[in-house]
Formats: sequence, structure tokens, C-alpha cells
Amino acid sequence: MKISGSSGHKIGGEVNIIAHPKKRKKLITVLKPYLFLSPITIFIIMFSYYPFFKTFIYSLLTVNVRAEIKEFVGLKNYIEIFTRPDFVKSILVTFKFALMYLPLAVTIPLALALIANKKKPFSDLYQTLYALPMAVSMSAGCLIFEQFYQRKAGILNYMLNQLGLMQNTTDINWLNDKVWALPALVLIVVWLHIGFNFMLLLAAVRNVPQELIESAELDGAGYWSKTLKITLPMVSPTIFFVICTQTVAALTMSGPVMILTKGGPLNTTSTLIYYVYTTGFRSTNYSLGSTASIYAFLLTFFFLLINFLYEKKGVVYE
Amino acid sequence: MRSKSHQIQKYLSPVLSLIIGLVIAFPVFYAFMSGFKGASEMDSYPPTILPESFMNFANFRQVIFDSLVPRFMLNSLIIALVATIVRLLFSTLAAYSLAFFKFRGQKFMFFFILGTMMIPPEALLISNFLTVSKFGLVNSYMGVMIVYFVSATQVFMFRQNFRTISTSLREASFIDGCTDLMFYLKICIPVSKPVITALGIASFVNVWNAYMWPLLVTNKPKMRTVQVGITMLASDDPNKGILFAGIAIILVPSILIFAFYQRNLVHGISSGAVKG
Repeated sequence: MKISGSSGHKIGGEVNIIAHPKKRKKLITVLKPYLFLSPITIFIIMFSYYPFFKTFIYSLLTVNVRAEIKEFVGLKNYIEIFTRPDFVKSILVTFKFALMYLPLAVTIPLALALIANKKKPFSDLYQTLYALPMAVSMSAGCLIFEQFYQRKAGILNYMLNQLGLMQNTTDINWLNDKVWALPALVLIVVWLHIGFNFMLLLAAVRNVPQELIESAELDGAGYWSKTLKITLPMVSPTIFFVICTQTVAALTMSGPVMILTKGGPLNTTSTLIYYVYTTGFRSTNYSLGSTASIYAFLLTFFFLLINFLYEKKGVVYE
Repeated sequence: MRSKSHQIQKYLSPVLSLIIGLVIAFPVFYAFMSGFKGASEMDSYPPTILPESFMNFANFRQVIFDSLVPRFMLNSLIIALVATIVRLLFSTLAAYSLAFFKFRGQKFMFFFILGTMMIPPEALLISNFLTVSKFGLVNSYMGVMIVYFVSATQVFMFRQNFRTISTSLREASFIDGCTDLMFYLKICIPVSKPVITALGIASFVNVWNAYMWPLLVTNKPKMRTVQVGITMLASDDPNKGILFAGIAIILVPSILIFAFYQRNLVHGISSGAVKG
């Protein structure tokens, strides 16, 4: 669109382009920037903006199983979807997940980065160990934890029992328990994301100028006051980045649900995107699925916006 | 007070740090150990960590010779490799345009590309699935990889990187008859090798680890990717030892990549390369 528009404008000024080799060369110079951009632009339109608008349009329509349009209903789907208990529940579950997930997903890697900051004996080794979850894919991680969560043969119940925290080793059936299934998923997703966020934060912590730390030491600052007053403000842009990416990760979480709980028990782990999947693909209700997708988009957008508004207060740039 | 806490830190903290590290890495260790276990060992009480025998290769043998896991790995390898190469090509070309040319709509194109970062891919699943099935690409490599060809993050990173190449160098080489395509191939790409490696690896791992999209666009067992296939293995065989042998095998490539590039990644991340 943009491409033909602006090049057309240029060509309009010049007549007989083809006749003059010099002018043809000029045309190529004008078009060249767009040629370099064209491959990516085609795919961005086809697989980002077009589907996005299509999803939006579908949410305004009723659509049959073969994705054929029945009628235009405006914002009716957006209101009606709230009469579906499954949908309302999925929003609540998503919030509950995010509330449990975010504090852990940010503070654990940050604490690990602070631990690994200084070079000490074995520090290379434990730095590698902290980052290791990065090498594990979501589905492999889920299957490993599923084994830990087993009611009888699982390590978690065994350990809790040995520690005296649980009287009967089969007290909790983690992934099939109304109360514990969601926290069990939180733990998996936190673990899966430790590695990458740890590396990011470690790089940021190591980039804090040594002079600042040293001058604070001369002023008699201890470890905690150095950390709180210098290191944390200096790495706050990276912390902010981690909070943003993890907010999106939390609000769009769905993979572990699909692999481990299928939304159960009693929909206590059915997140918003899992709802999109079940309504859109299992029940092939494309219009409701699309409406839920748009809500998912709005939700992530809204919370990113809040993050960015807060950024002005909390984040220190040099 | 200060020297005391220093003393404690000196002796206690490395040991404690190491213990924390072992706890974090434990699931990986456990997966490899469990590959050697028989069915009864997986269900035993109390649960065991180490296998009875490290010489029990039956699970691994079955996964390698008698399951679809090697095929899954081949599928994932092809998809991740081609998607990464195409992605790198598209992003470097776009970044070249944004970094070196002055043209109408330049700002618009920049934000047009970065704007895709605002749309979570999960919200596009239904529409993209309909598009791909309309093209008849369900159960094909192309159908899986086609949604991974664009990475706005990569465009941004490469643009930053290309901007460090001096414009006077470009002007000088153009006087000597160099063209944009030659400059792109002979200067920009070689100069950006470290960034290409870092982003390429991150992208390969991302696509290799993808789950939701490959699950939707493939339903023939032979076309499954590793991540989807391994969860099928879980439901196919009641013997958990075989499942864990499969998990161990599919973890090997990403752990090898991780081991080789962990150090470079810290460096790459701190110099601005965030993710693929």
C-alpha cells in the first residue's frame, strides 16, 4: 500500500522513465528501500495484521463451523460471552495465575543474579546451573514435573512427608486437586523461565559500574544498602523488561494446561488462551473463540500499558 | 559487623549457592537418570532418583529404533533450521533498508514492523490456522514454519547493529562501484556474525521448543514436531522409563547448544541482543 503510493508519487513527476537509462536507474534507487523491506512486509501482513483484523471482524459476526459468515452482530459477542461461566472462570483463573506467578517469576531470577554476581569459588558452575532450565522446552519440562507431582510415586509428596509437612503421603493429588493444580502449574512455569531471566538480570547486574559500588563502600555502605540503593536502581530497566515479558507470559499461559490438566479439575486451570483453544478448535465456535482472542489481546495490552505508566516512576535510566 | 558478614559470605555462600543450583538443575538431572529406569522403578515407593543400573539401555534403544522420536527430531530440525534462516534473511534485509536508506514512509515501516510485537501470537491462532488450512498447508513443514518467518525483535537488533557500520565506509565503497546488494553481502553480514549467531541460536531454540502452533497444524503422527510428539509418547506407552529416555534424547540438542553458547549469551545479552 505504502510502497506503491509513495513510489507512484515520485514517478508521477517524471515522464518517459523507460526511455532514459539514467532515469531508470533513478527509479531503481527510489524503489530499492521498499524492495529490501518487501519480503518481511508480505509476511507481516499475512500472518500478523491480516489475522488480527480478521479475528476482530469474526468477533463481530456469527460464523458457522466451516468459517462461513452468517450475520453481523456488532458487539453482541463481547457482551454475550460474559454469560458463559467457562469464559468468566477462565478470566479469573488467568488473573489468579498471574498474581501467583509474577512475584516469583521476577524475584527468583533477580535473587539468583545477585547471588551469582560476584566471582567466587564454583561461581562458574552455579551460574551454569541457574541458567540450565533455559535449555528445557516447555513440554519436556511439563512431563518431568508431572512425574514429581505423582500422587504415590512422586518425589514432592514423598519429600513433604519426610519433612513432616504432610501426614499421609497421598494427601495431595497435585494436578488433579481443585486447590493445588494451579499453584502446581505456577511452579512449572516459574522454573521454565528462571534461566533466561536470570541471564538477562545477571548481565545487567554485572554492567553496574564498579566505581559506583566502590565509592559507596568508601562511604561505609554494607551489602544490603549497596544492593538496595545502587544495584537495584541501576538494573531497574532490565527488571522492568522482565516484568513486561513475564506479564505477557502469565496472561497468555496455555501450554502446560494443554499438556497436563486439560483445564481441569472442574475448570480450575482453564486459562483464557486455553478457553480460546477449546471454543475455537474443539467446539469450532470461531466467533466466540475470536472474541475471547480479542479479550486476551486487550488484557495484555492493558497490563503492558499499566507497566509503562508505572515505568516513569519506578525505573531509573542513567 | 561488616567483616563478620564478609566472613560468613566467604565460606557459606559458595556452598549455599551451589546447593540452590543443584535444586534448580535437579529436574534435568532426574530426566536423564530416569531414562535408565524400568517401568517398576518409575512407580516404586519410596521414589528413587538414581537408576538400579546405568547399563539398562533398553529404553533408549526402543526410543531410537522403535518409535517415531527420531522422525519427530528430523521434522523439528528441518522446521527450526529453515525458519531460522528465512527469518535471519528477512530481518537483515529489512534492517539494511531501515539503517542505510532515507525514504518516504521510513518511520512508518519501522513502527509497522515493531507493532507486531504488541500482538500476542496466541491471539492469532484461529485466524492463522484458517489461512494455513486454506492454503492446504496443514500437515506440511511449510504450514508449521510459515508463521515464524517474521521477528520484529531481530529487525530491531540488526538495525542497531548495522548503524554501527560507518556511512562513510558505505559511501567510499559506492564510489568504487559497490552496489547495495554487494555491501549487504560482503560487509554487513560478515561484520554482524556475532549478532547473527546469537539471534540465530535463540531463534532456532524458540522454534524447536514451540508447542501450540505445531500441535494445531499437524495431526498426522509422522508430521509432529518433537515437542508435540513427546507428549504423545507419554500417552502411548504406560512405561514411564521409555518416556524419560525420549525426554533425555530430545533434551540433548538444546543442552549442547546451551553448553556451547552460555557464555556468549551473557555477553550477547549485555551488549543488547535480548531475544530471537
